[in-house]
Amino acid sequence: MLKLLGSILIIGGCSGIGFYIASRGAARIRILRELEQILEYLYGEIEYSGCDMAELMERLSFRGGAFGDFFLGIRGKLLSHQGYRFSEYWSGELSYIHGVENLLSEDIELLHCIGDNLGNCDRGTQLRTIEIFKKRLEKTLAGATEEYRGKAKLSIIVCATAGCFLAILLL
Amino acid sequence: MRTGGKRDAGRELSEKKEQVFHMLALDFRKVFQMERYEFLKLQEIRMRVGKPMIVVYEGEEYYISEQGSFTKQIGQAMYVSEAHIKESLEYISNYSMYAFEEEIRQGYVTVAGGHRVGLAGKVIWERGSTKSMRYISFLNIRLAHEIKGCADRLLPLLYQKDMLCHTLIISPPGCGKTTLLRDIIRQVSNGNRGRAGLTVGVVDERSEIAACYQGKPENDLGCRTDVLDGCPKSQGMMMLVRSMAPRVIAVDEAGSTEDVEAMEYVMNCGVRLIATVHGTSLAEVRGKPAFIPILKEKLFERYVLLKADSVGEIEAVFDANGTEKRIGREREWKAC
Repeated sequence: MLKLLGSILIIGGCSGIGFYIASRGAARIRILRELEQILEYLYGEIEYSGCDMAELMERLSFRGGAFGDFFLGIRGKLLSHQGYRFSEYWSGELSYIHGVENLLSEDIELLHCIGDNLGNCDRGTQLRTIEIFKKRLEKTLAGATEEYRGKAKLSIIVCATAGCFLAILLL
Repeated sequence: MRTGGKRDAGRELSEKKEQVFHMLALDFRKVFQMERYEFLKLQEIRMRVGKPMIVVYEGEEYYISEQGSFTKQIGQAMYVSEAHIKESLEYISNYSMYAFEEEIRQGYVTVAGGHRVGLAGKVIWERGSTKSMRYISFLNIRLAHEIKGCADRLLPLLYQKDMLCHTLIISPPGCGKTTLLRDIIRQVSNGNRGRAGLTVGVVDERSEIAACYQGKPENDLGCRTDVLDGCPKSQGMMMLVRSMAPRVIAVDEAGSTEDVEAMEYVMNCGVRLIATVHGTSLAEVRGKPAFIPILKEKLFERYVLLKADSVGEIEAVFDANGTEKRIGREREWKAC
């Protein structure tokens, strides 16, 4: 009876690890999709309303989601007039993105780049910059989705199989 | 009540001071916090890449030393770097240069507190007009100081049988005509000396009168004043007459034929007009081609002439026929 219980626990645990690995990929895709919508929103707002960064950050924070606290934090810092660059505020708040641990280093680098290039150029250049980031993100997102499709099932199966193997080995 | 008023004025002053600090690069911010000076006497802060920072204080130029004092010794002066200008520009634009594109094209930005920042650098010229400005290397922060009550002695002369006269203020640049106009607007709008307040429409083409920041006037123009910000004067006057039913319209620095035609239209609509124009004498304005017809018709009932070589000193007030009206003994008010 104890052996059976142990085996179930091992297989369950290993499968859980598989699901966790797969869910990390899904969370990454969800955050990147949200970022894509944010860039779209930024593009539209800068093009048509031309409102300043503090106002944009406030509006973005109202949308909530993974980036809600991140934008709220930036807005607070902008209004405090402490005298730092926008990119410094942006980078300082990255850790407040919900689920940031699911992002890869290349995603974080992209986020840093967006912060470095926001607010310091004229409208035309700003819109073109956002357009470039949108394209970069699109590629990243396509890669992440493909990777997820291929790896999600695989990681669940591999982990579950590893669990079975361990259970057999220990029996 | 009076103490409260003083406290409010103190808070307002301290807010305005903070707003100026927030535009400066951190290095200069620290220095300005060290120096003991009267904020109301500070008129301009000039920053030029590779040159010492200069402030205009009580009409005189000073350098800023690293010890945080105003000095006349260039050897002690703090120098402005490209990074300082870039940093200041970020703060001035609220980290949103794209939002100030139109202002940058015109060469100035109005910021919180009504202060104006003049910009100069490499102008991108396209099809006969300024497309943009790059490599901005020169900043001139002009501090806005409202002088409430500066029109007190003048106002009685601007009324005839309790009716506000069409008035033209004539002054060379930098002699206080906008400050005077602003106070006239405020007092006419709020009501003064027992006279009821009137609805005033202001066409503020260069955001100098109301100093609107994000649509909100930073200067007090009274409780019955509507402001058309950033709108060309000639079109703005027509728009106001049609849409806001003003009793009085005020414009600053009228000069073109279109402006004068719109002014004539306004005056013929039964709306009172207060305008300013660049000039050193009534004769000079009479010689301006755009003004010849309107002055011939004697539509303006008052001409206020400001002294050329001082700030805020009224030289004379004339009626439509050019007869001088007597102003009170104390004829001058001092800016700051």
